[in-house]
Amino acid sequence: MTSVDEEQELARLLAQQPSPLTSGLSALRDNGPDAAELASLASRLALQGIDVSTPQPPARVSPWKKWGLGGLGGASAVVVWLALRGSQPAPPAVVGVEVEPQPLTPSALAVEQGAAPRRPSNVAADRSASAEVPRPTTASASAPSNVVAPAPSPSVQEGHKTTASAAPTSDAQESAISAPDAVATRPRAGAAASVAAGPTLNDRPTASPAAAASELELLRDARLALPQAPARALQLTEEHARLYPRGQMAQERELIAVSALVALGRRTAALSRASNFERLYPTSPYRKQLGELLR
Amino acid sequence: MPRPAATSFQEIFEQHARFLWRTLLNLGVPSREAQDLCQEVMIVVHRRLPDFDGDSLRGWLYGICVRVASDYRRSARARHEIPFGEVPESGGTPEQRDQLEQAAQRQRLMRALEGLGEDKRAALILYEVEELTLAEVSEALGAPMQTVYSRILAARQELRRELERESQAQPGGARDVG
Repeated sequence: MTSVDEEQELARLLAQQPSPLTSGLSALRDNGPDAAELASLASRLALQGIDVSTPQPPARVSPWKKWGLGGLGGASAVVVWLALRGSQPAPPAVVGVEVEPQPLTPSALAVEQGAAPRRPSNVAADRSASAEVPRPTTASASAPSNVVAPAPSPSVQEGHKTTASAAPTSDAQESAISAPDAVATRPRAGAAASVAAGPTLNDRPTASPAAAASELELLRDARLALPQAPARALQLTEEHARLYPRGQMAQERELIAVSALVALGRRTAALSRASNFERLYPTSPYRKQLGELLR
Repeated sequence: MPRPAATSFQEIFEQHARFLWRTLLNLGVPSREAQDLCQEVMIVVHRRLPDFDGDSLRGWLYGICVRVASDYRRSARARHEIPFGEVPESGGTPEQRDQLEQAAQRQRLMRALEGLGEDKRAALILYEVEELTLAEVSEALGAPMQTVYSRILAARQELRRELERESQAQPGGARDVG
């Protein structure tokens, strides 16, 4: 029996038996990030020099492009959109989710279809889910890839070692590492407790478009300033902490701040801040990068 | 099966990031940690993609995801984290009630999934929720297909028992467990 035959036979046997998950599949499949969280992830990767820009789908060609201005107009619009979406606190996954349907790109599913045979119902599921993926375009392109230390490369094995003390919650992390006036808590995406607490779309913290856009911009400017003007970079991170005590990019801010302190020769302060970072973010992918900075 | 040509990191992010994030959650990663861990998954993918020469991109991607979640869960257990909160029994609007019911059902399933061993849970989630093929699950978990099949069967049985036990323990009596 070939492996294909074996797979088909085993799949046939599994299909003959009902699964207890059948009635709960939609609940588990909804258990994912929303567009804002994915945009935030794209921004964080971009700040590490990993470009995850995505092309605009042909179906969304704007009039600007027809007039030969697409490069500027479309990109600017996406920058503003991404910065707005990526800078807001993550909303609960169930209540208050904003889904902006996106047309499926022509290349959608091409990777998966080429990679392996698909079980039929999965394609439909992927189609609906892919439509929710944001288009993080120029925020990543605008982020420099060579401003600070190279992107960390934590191995899977090195990823998350046990820490001795109890890990603080992200709320505690934010308020402890940021401005002292941080009081409110950040909504937790996907946390059923947040859903249970009843925050709705209308309860969601709001920020003015200009203010919201500048969380990403502040950190981008800080990274750009770092090689030539670390004091300015440090100042920008302090401004970020003041403006966004509950911002989604507190870890990125701290990484830049420690880099700036090292560049300024303030090693003791850098070590102290890095130590605080490791205590507050024991599973952060930036830990290795911080270690290299302070080596 | 030939590898798809020149798969870029960008395509992977666009096509898979959401599902990898979802898988982390369904493998027991708390939502507050999911972004950090998904970022770690994507960093590992970015670093290793040039060396990828396997047959199944999805199997490879989900394999990384499962290992990151596994590492995390070991550390989380050591910290005695409590992954789930409570969902209230009533909501306001019909939409809110639907959402609360959905959230309650997810919590019920997640509690039941917690009782499965890591290997069985991963096999079940990848096969039934993510709808990977048996060959892809096999690659992701580094186990023979027959082993994956056995784990899925065992996971189904244990999950069914746990859901039935829980539904009988509730005041309203038995519920449909699928």
